[in-house]
Amino acid sequence: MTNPTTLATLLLAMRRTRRNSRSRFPLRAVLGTAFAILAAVGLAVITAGGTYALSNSQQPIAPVATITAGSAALRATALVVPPTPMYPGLTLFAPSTVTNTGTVALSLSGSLSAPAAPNALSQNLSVGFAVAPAAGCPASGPLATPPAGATLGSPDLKTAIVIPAGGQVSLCVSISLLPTASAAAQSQTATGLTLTVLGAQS
Amino acid sequence: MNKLVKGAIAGAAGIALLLGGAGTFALWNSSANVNGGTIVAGNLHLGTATTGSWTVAHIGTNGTYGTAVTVTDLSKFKASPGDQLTYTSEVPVTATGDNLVAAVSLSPGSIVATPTSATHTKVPADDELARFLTANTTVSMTGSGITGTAPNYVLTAGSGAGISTTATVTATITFASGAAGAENTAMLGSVDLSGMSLTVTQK
Repeated sequence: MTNPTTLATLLLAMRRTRRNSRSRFPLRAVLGTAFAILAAVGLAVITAGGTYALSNSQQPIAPVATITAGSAALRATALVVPPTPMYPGLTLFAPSTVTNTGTVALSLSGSLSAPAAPNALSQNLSVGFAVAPAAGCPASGPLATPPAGATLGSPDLKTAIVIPAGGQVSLCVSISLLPTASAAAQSQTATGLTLTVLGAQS
Repeated sequence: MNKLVKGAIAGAAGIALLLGGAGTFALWNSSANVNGGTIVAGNLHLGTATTGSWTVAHIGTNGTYGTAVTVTDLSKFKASPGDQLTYTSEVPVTATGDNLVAAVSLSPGSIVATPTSATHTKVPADDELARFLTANTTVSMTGSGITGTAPNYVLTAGSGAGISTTATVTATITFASGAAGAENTAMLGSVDLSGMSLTVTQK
């Protein structure tokens, strides 16, 4: 049997619950509102901005000064080739003085460029250079074996010659007609050949 | 009322109570103030540097630098690719602050093309030299309470008075040596170091 007191208590509690439910917001709505407020506050804080300046300090450390770069430069005297008629295997020599006018030591190499109008003679010439002996350059001589020079289309002539800054070296420039030159080279004149002496910082 | 109906109503009421409806549940809470104490800002300051000295070393064919030699008059020295110029001076450093980490570098504008003046006419080689030298600069700093490697150093200032020390600052300017002819455009160029400054920036 249901206790009347218990039932009255239950009914009273039910009525209270109903009143409380009518006077309060639904739980879901309450929480939703709270989160919205928090979010708004949080957002406001994040976007408040302001500056964050890390500490720093600056101080001059060097007196007034400049740094100047040097240079790499060569100068060579003009080449006077003997007017001796050439034949296959003959080498002609001509002196040239190369001066290092730059500020760094330079290692020498050479390259040969073709004339505007090549012919059978110019295409069979080998041009090179070496340090002149104390007695000076000979006028001519037999071809060195193997040819120590640069020919058209071949790699540049490499040497072990190094000129210090401000120094100079006397060279013997050699012009050789290769033994393989054909008869078509006879009576030809080769002009416009250019031997370039290259200096690279060493 | 029929007992069966009463029981049903009571049961329904009990079930309704158990379901809770939309009543409020006030959880316990409490609050207390927390004393934030006193916040003190740290400090990072460089003092006036002493007049330093220049040395130069040149890279060898094996890729390592030779012995550095003193340059007594930098204006008379002609730099070339492969040179490494080093300037060393003393700089007072004051630092206060826990966990203070700072990066050290040369300030922008430390190495610039020498401007035109009564004794110099600015040429493109000046800009080229400035470009080559600016691309290869490092700064290192040593001293009491200073640890780490370039460019980031830890200034172990600790709390309280922090550190006040004289740091040895070394600025290294390297004229790189690239392929043959790569630096030809800088020949006879000139750069001005009058704005050479050290910057220490907290990280």
